[in-house]
Amino acid sequence: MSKTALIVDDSPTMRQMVSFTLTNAGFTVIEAEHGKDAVSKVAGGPKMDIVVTDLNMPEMDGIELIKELRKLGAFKFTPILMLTTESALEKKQAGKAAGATGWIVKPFNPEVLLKTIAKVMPA
Amino acid sequence: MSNDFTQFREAFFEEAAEHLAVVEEGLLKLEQNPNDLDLLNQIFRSAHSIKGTSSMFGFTDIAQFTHKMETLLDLLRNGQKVVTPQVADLLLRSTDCLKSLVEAAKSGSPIDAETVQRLTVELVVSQGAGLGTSGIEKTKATGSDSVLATGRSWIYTIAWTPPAWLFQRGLDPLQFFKELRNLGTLSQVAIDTAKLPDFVVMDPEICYLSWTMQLETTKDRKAIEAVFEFVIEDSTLIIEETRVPGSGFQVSSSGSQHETRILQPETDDGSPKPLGEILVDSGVVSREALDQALAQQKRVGQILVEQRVASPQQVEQALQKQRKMEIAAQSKKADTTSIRVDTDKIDKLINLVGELVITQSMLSDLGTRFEMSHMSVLLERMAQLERNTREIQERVMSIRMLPIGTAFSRFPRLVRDLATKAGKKIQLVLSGEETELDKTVIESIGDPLTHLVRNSADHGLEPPEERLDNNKQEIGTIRLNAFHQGGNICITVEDDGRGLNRDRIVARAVKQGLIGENEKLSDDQIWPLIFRPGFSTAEKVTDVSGRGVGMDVVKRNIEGLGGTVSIKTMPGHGTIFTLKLPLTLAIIEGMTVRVGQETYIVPLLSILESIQPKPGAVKTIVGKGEVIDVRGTYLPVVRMYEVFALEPEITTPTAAILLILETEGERVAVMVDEILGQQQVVIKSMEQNFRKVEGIAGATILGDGTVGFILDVRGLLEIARQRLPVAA
Repeated sequence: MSKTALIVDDSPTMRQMVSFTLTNAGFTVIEAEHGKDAVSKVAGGPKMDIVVTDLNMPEMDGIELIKELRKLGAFKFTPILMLTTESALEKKQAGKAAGATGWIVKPFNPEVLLKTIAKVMPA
Repeated sequence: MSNDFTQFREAFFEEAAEHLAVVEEGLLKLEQNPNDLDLLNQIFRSAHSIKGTSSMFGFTDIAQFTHKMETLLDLLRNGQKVVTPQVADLLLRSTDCLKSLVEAAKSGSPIDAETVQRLTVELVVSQGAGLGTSGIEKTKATGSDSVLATGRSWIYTIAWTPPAWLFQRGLDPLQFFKELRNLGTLSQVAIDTAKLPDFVVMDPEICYLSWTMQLETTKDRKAIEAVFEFVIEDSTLIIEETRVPGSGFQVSSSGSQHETRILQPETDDGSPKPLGEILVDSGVVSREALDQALAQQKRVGQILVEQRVASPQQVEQALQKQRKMEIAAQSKKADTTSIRVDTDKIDKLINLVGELVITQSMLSDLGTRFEMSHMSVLLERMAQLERNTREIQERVMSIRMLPIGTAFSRFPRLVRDLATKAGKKIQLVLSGEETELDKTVIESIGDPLTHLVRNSADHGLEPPEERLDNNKQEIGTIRLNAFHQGGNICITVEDDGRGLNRDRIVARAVKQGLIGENEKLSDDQIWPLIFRPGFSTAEKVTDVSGRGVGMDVVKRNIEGLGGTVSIKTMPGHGTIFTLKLPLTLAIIEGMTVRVGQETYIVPLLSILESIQPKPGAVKTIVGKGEVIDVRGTYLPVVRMYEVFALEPEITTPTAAILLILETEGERVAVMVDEILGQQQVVIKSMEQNFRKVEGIAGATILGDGTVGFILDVRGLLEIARQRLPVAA
């Protein structure tokens, strides 16, 4: 029984890196390009164990996505981590208000990513 | 003099190579003895050294990667993780990667980022970060470095009132307690339900609770605050610290406003204990925890397998890339080499040079006011000079001498990999690793030895079933041994496999036209056939050996070093290859012989015997020139004065001396006027000082100051062969 993760980022490289790390850690990964893409992929669909999302994205940004997800029953208590940069730390507050569980500051290494996920995800 | 560290780079690379060897060797041993703590500590220390030193030179790639390995090693040595084959394999592959990183840093070539990234992820994953690890083995998993470093425990009393919206942001209070438990020993967790409203009005999505707890840890306050990173701004968090003394403890700060706080050191369950006791305890617990950990391991292994299955080609490509890089880096390495010498050896050398200077000044002093009456003093001084010179020569030579163990060290890994690949069970036994020989020789025998070991593993040893069928032990043995024999060093590669197959070798040799179909050959003539170029009896070409290249290269390489290869084999019992090598390439043991007025040096290694032929022993055979009957075998006779166009003193073989020389399995009788004696000579290259001369391997300066030529036996044979049609 592997855990599932939703990764939302408009940068394919970033998506690949996060996806690679999580796949290696035993996760089943679903990737989405932006908020809308993500919502369309999970609405009414599978429950996720963790969501990792970028904030700046076309179509629907990360903050909006978090708000949308929290409205869905399946995502009410799902840990959601946002990827933020050092320069955009003030977004943290907006993210928290929207219902984000935590954040990861870019740049990060696989270790930090996995550690942070472990921090918020029930075993 | 430069004032940065770059001048020490070479030293670092050498040190790193040594550490890498220790790590690799240690890991291989660890596979056999997973519980050897000393071994783990040793591996850890080496990895730690590489990390520390590499960062000094700004090799962050190396430092970061090694850090990942070190973290895993630390978990292993603290018993928080168990050494499984998967873990050992991962660490071995990481060591390979680290090697390539070091080589890349050395040669300035680009690193194989893909492999590094892949292994980094594997290492991190294997440490269990992020994968719901539970149980005691995980409790001190994070940053145990500092646990060991400071050794000081603190007891923190923590009171936490989370924000009401805790659940709505997907946070689970349990997660915080798990994180805290990772820092140390968490105890006396108490919940405060005072704020919990009536059931009717309670909103299940709101958090009404608060907690107090005690945490014994060596970490500072910041580490605890980091646990609450995502909620600290919205929580009420009070952290008080108390130092743990030998027994009992005092509260150092003023009390808190929380009623639920309990501060009793002598409670039975989960009361704070000294770190040592906890470790002892965890040792007891690890019996059960072992199973858990193993189950855990399996999961990681499966993940890795899954991952590899996902892209086996990519992995293979990366490996090939790495191999290419290694080869490229190695060829670069040959350009600048250094050697590490014991200061002891250098001190003695300096001491000897000091003595030489004294002897020299005594001599020059004697020279300025020399009288015949001082003759005995002069002779005495000269004897002293000779002694000094000889000792210095010996010492200088010994600087180039290294234990052969450095050449052997690659084989445990090689054999392990070969065994895995071929599905055989092989144990490698090394002996005589401390035998010293010239650095150049050591570097040059690596490849031939590798070929021989590969050959033994691939062709010599049978698969386990076949061995069992033949009443042999399932595990095949390859023995590598080095020892001194006279002025030579012998290295044997021995296996207890099936031995050489005479019939197959003969059939193959006939097919290839190496021997005639009905030729009767002795075993000693058959076995060397496998050293002929293109010869292979392997029925299938494996990627290990069997392409028919290798054995001829072995022979060529060894003979290039002035050595010989011989084979002993017993069908069904195994094969022994014996390499006989000179201790050094700079000096050879030679027989001085005279031809006319000229003195030649014949390498002692190639001389089998010297004979004075009886009348009638030397005959002329049409088409083959002169031959001599040596105990029933006819050998061609080469008259040295003819080859080098000299004026000989003796032209009748019965009055001359015939040296029976052997090279590459061929024997020849060389006719000289006289044997003068045996001595060590220093080889001076002909190419560098003059030009290449056929039949001459080099020159040396003889005791009387004249130049003596060193015979190239192989070349001499060639010349003799070319002359034959004319002679015949």
